[in-house]
Amino acid sequence: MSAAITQNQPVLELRDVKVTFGSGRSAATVLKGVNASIHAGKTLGIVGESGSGKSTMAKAVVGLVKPSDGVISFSGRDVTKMSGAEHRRMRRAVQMVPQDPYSSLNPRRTIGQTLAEAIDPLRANPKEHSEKISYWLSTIRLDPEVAERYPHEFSGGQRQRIAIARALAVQPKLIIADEITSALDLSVQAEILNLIGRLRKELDLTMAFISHDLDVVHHVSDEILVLFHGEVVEHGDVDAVYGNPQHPYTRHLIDSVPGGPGFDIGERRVAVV
Amino acid sequence: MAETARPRRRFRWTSGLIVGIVMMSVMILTALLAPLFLSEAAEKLTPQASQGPSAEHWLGTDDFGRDVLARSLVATRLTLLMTAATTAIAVIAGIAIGTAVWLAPRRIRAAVLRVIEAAVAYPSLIFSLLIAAILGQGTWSAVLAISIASIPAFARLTANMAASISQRNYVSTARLLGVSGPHIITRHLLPNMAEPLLVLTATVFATTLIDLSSLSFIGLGVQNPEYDFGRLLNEALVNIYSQPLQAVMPSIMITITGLSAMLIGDGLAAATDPRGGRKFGSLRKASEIPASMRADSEALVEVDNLTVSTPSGVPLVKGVSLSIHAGEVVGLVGESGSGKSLTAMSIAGLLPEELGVSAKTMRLGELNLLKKNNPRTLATSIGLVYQDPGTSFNPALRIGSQLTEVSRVHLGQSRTTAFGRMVKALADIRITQPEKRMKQHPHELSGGMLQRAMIASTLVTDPRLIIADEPTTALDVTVQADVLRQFRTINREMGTAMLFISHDIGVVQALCDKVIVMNGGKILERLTGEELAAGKVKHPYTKALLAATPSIAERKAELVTVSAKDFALDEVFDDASAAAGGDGTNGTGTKETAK
Repeated sequence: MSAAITQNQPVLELRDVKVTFGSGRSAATVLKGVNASIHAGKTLGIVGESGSGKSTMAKAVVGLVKPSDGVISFSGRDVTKMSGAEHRRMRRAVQMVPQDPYSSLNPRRTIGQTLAEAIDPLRANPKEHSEKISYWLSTIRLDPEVAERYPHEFSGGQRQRIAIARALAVQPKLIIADEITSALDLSVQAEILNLIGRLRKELDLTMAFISHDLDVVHHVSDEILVLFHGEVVEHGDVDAVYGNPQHPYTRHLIDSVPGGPGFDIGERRVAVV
Repeated sequence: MAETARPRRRFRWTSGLIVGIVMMSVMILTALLAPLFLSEAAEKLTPQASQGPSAEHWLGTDDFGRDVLARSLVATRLTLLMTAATTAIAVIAGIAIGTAVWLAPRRIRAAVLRVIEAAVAYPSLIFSLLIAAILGQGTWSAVLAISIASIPAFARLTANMAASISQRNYVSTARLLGVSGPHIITRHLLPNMAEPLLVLTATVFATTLIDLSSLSFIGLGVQNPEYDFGRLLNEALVNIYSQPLQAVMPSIMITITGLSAMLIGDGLAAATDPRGGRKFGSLRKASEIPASMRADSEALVEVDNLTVSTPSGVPLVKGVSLSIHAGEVVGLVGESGSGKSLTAMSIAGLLPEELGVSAKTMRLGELNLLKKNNPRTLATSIGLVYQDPGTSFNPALRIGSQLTEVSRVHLGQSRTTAFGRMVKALADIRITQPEKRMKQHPHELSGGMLQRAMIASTLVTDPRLIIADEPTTALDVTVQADVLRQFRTINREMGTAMLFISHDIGVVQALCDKVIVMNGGKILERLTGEELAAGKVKHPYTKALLAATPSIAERKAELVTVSAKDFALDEVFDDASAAAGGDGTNGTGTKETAK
């Protein structure tokens, strides 16, 4: 697949990114030349099953994993060729919301302290930043007073909202949401998805939304990218891909969603006594 | 507004901890007061040398006519000071090294950790003897020697804890936020290992005391005219036959101090362990509640008015009745905390001992599930499939021996027979190369294959009921479809009844004949799989669940958020005929109000 060059520059662009773990005979190539791009204000849904390389792709973008080949660029600047200092400055431009709302917040720090650290990592004093903290808490529909509280006082969904607020407070160019609803109950998932939907409109978020759940990705994404064994098998507008998948793997994936139109697990038992 | 998800644990005072603190306080008081009042008796040379116990000298006097008891009491101050200083140096240096190692680049970290491990492997007393020999005799060289020797163990533990905490998401997120290394240590690492470090410090205090006393005892530590417990023992050794009492008091003091530190350490460990302090309550019993119309004596499985409650009496399952007919697949849907797994696990007899279970009737065929049943009967009549195939297998054993366990142990089959039957069962559910798989270890198989192997193993005993608790939740969507297909085939071809638990409405509506919707420990609605698939639901909670589910079939502008509190949970759309008759298609919407 060739990287489409459009007039307006994408926020994030991956060109032929390869990631290899290990070396010699035990080397495993997890990403085999991935091309992708996300434009400002758009959400790219990344789907794939376990081992498809979707988490590795997120780690490579965030800088936790070094690609062995290829270009990852933010607003046109190649991250892989940046110096250490430049890279540190760039680091805050991409933020990640992790999957598990229970291990993503430090149990010994108040919500205010956690958010203050996101606003200013050097002087993380919640009193200095109380105005901004209140603002971000109200953005995720929590009372500003909760800044005084500790994570254990919140439910899973509320914690996930706080983790989202922490990512927003950095005011990054790109947010990577890695399976952020998979640890949540259905009703809480709905609450988080609604919040994401609202924030996308209000704040014009640019986002990579990684999930194994095709229903969820369908709900939040503008574009979708299907990964299979470290390769992009399909990339395009979400409705086009879901409505008329081009690759047989995408077809198979969509047909496997329970309750979906192509789902079939065989005839029911005829007589129930 | 935020609701309290988990109340903060209250500090638990155990008797050991209280005794330890009292003993330690007495020692500290002695250390403070004894030198003020007893120095004279302890240090002044008198002509009354080597006397036995008397009213004036309770434990007698030593070679120079000094009071043995007074000397032991006064020695407490120096001993405690030395021990505290040594512990402090060891703890502070240990924490500093342990966390700094974690910040260092990978190669340096690995090298330093190897050095620390080598140091830990070397006996610390010999290590400190070596250091003391180099530094020379004396109080503070002993302190230094012991503290240097105790650093590696502490550093290694801190490094291990730092390594595990740094795996948590909040640490990696802090790095993404651009938080500096030292800040990560002070804000995120140290506060989260404070409790284990505290416990460890108390233990180190006790061992340090022994080590210091040993050094003084062999003459390398405290020198005349100063004296600590070890030095007193050293002096007593010369007269051990003529003046045995001289050795008794310092020994007792060492024991008391060490014991109190250990008790405090253990007490703190117990107090910080959230699993501690559980009480075990009653076992399962038959309740006196009259039989409800919900249960069905014709059915294979009959559960009437099941309640499950915590030891403190909080009800978790509040009167659930259900029946499963032979050949029927019944689904239990609900969110976490709805009581669906508790219901299923009480049928399987696998609830934790401390939960109280009662029901009017709970049976599988003729088997009364309220009684304590023969494990063999239970193991062969109920097949269980768990959620995560990755953790339900023992990674150290071959697949074959785990899959044939029930056949070998409970059915008494020989190894070869069981192996042969299992290979056939694996082949039946289309696992390739079944013989090779049986000899492999769990990590060599994919999650989907493990789950299918698990299902196959429940089938070889020919169970009457299969209970599957979220069996596809941990699986990829294509593998999930495969496993569901497998369940469907088993049900169609072998007619095995199933109780299928899931939070996923899509999965349940595709597989199950009957669906039971649960919330807050109660059944809210019973309907057929087709009704659910067609959206013909009556209870507002079920409707809301459907509206909260995103779907690839249609894009909803806004998902409805469900809050269980919004629904009158006592309002039960629970159609009697659905449970009793089995057809469950008459949608009259009988409305009942439970008590």
